Amino acid sequence: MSRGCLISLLSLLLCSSVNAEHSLSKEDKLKAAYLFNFTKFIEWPILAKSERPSSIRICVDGSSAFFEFLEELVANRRVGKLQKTVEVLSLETAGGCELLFVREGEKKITIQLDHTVVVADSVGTAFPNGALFFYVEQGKLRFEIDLEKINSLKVIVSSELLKLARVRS
Amino acid sequence: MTILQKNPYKNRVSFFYKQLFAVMGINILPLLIMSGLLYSNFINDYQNNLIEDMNSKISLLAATSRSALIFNDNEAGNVLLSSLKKYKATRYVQIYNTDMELFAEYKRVGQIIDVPVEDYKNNAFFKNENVYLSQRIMMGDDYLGVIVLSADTKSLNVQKNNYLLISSSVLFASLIMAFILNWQLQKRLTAPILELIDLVGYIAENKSYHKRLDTHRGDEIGELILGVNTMLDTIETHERQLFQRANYDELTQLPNRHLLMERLSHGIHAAKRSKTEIALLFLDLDRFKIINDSLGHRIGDELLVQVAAKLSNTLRKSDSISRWGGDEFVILLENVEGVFHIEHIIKKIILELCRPMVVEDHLLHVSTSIGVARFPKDGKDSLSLLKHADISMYKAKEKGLGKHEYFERGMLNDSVQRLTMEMQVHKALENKDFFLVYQPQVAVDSECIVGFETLIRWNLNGRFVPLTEFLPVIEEVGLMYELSLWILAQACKQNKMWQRAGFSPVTVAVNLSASFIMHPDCVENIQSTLTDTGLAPKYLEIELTENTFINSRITAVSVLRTLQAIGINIAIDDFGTGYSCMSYLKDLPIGTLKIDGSFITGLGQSQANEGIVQSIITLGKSLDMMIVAECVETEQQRSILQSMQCDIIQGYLFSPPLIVDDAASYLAKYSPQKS
Repeated sequence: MSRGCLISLLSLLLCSSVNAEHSLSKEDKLKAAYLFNFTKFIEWPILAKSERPSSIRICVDGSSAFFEFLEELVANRRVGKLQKTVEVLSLETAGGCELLFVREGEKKITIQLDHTVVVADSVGTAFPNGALFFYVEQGKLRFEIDLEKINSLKVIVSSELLKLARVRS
Repeated sequence: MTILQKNPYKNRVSFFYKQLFAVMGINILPLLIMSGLLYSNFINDYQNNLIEDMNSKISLLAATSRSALIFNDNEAGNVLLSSLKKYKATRYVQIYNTDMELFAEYKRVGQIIDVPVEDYKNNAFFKNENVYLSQRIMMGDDYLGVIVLSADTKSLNVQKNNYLLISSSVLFASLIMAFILNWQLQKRLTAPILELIDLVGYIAENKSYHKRLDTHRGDEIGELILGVNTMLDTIETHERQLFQRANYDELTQLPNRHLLMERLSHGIHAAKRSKTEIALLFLDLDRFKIINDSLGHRIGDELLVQVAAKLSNTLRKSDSISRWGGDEFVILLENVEGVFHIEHIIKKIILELCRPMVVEDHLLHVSTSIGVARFPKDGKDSLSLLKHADISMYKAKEKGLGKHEYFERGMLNDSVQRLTMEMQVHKALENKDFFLVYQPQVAVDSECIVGFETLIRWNLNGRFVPLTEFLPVIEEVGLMYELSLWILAQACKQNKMWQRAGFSPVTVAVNLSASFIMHPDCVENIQSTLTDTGLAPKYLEIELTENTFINSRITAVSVLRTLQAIGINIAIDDFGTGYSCMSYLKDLPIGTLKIDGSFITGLGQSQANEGIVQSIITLGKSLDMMIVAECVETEQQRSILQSMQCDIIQGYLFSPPLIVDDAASYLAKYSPQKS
């Protein structure tokens, strides 16, 4: 049950076992948690077809504390119907990923983005393939979704996610 | 007489309603159980549906609130929960996170959270007319929180009331329908039984058995009705037979005395109303006893049947004829217009009965004596009329055969006297108060005694009762045979005693009635008397009247021939006054003719009388008979008779009837000299 205790973001954020805790802002921690939570509400059909055991890959900037924090967060966790493990990969080394978190001013993305859901750090992030965008409203971290973009990807987004998201016009 | 039994339990609940209520009771029980089960089932279903409905809602909410919990979006959670707003039963719904902190909530205005989240159980429960449910919110194996929901059960209560109403209505309608159907069914089933009860009641009340019930049923009730009908047939037949037996004479089929009394009573009432007269004719056949005793009851009965038929044919249909008993008939004539009317009918009856009747080769002559009593003159009621008609009839009988007499008040005394005499006759016979006297019969030529005629005398309290007074009474009361036997025995015994005393033997003549001769034991009794007394038959002479042969000549001839064969002499007494024809004289074994005294008394007074006597003597002589003249009182009579060659003379000229001792003296004095 301790695994399920991830639960609330608050408790997660208060978890003292995370090494990167001190180097990350509360917002970044929330974003890391949101990234992980996105994997629960998005399905990648291609993963189901794959013959080898595969995991959901989240690509973030590898050099950051955010990477570490997220890596620790998803360690030994399984999500979705297929109970896939979640793997955090560095943007620089990753051959491909299902979820890609980009920040403004980061290095140019070289990986193939066929079915990759790109999560932008903010609504202002100038990234052409962004499907989900974080934003803060009344002190609460929320996210926006580009339905056209995400629908163009070969992924299935849960209506529950859509219900919480602001739809990008 | 049938008495209608009163039922002490009557006026209680009828059989119909008892059965109806019993069946209804049996019907109500399963209906109540079914209605209860139906109601309970409805409520359970509705309750289950309500819980299921709430469960589905809470499940949906739990599923859809997961993302809100995960992304800590309590606003989204609140929005989700408020979707239950349109379900009016919802009181509140809450989502708690894993720390049991309230995450989202919807609460209807005015509702309070009355059950803390910790008190919720795994299953739904009811409390304070509310239902409470909870469900854990899971994401895979991850426990995200818990959702609780409370809803009021107003709809359940409304449904309960509805179902109660429906069940009650169905129950009530079923009861009404069951009642109507059962009522109809019971009515149909009990209708024939009620008809039977009505029939039995009608029969018990009216004593009438003619009603029947129609039935085309093939079941047990049909059989019961058929059984009752058959029973009624039998009862009706028995009733008819009983009525016939109670009211009609079995032999003649005429009404009996019971029915006569009813008709007479009715006739008197009618006569009172219409102020008309009625006449009651009391008939008694003359000499019937002789026929009955001599020829047997079968012949007597057949004769009565023929007489009844004759009477029926003679009278009008409106006249009522009944057999009173024995040889007595009573005729009731209503609306009598006068004596001439009664006379006309009496004449018709007498004329019709005078005609001889043939019964089994016997040519029988009967006549009837009739007594008449009239209403209102001779009696005001049935019994007095009957009594007076009866008395009149006896008076008529005293006058002779085939006579009739109207009632007169004076007859009542005669009747009393007659009753007294009947008792005295019985007593006299028991006490042997009768005694015999002997009147000598003397030969005309020698003037010697040749015999005695035995005559009976009755000394009643110092008075000699005339023969004409007591002999008819003796005949009527049926003692004649017994008395005749006594006379016969006495006479024979006395004659034998005289012979034993050394007197010259003479005959002793005994008068015997026709009924004695016709009696089946007549010959046997005469023979045994002779044997007992030791008298030789030739010293016994039997005197009969011509009427003896009227009723049945064949029997009389047979008896007389037997007696003659024994050696007994037969004499015809009172010859010349009877009704029968002369031809019998040559057929009958008669040895002596006794010329009636009335002819003798007239001798020397008219030529015609002498002619008759001469003719009788000539007739007798020609048939080789002895001629006896009785009641000879004068020498002139004796002289004439002698000149006419009469053989024997009897009368006061020689001697009155003598008592035994005087007779013995006479015998000693006038016996023929023994040669």
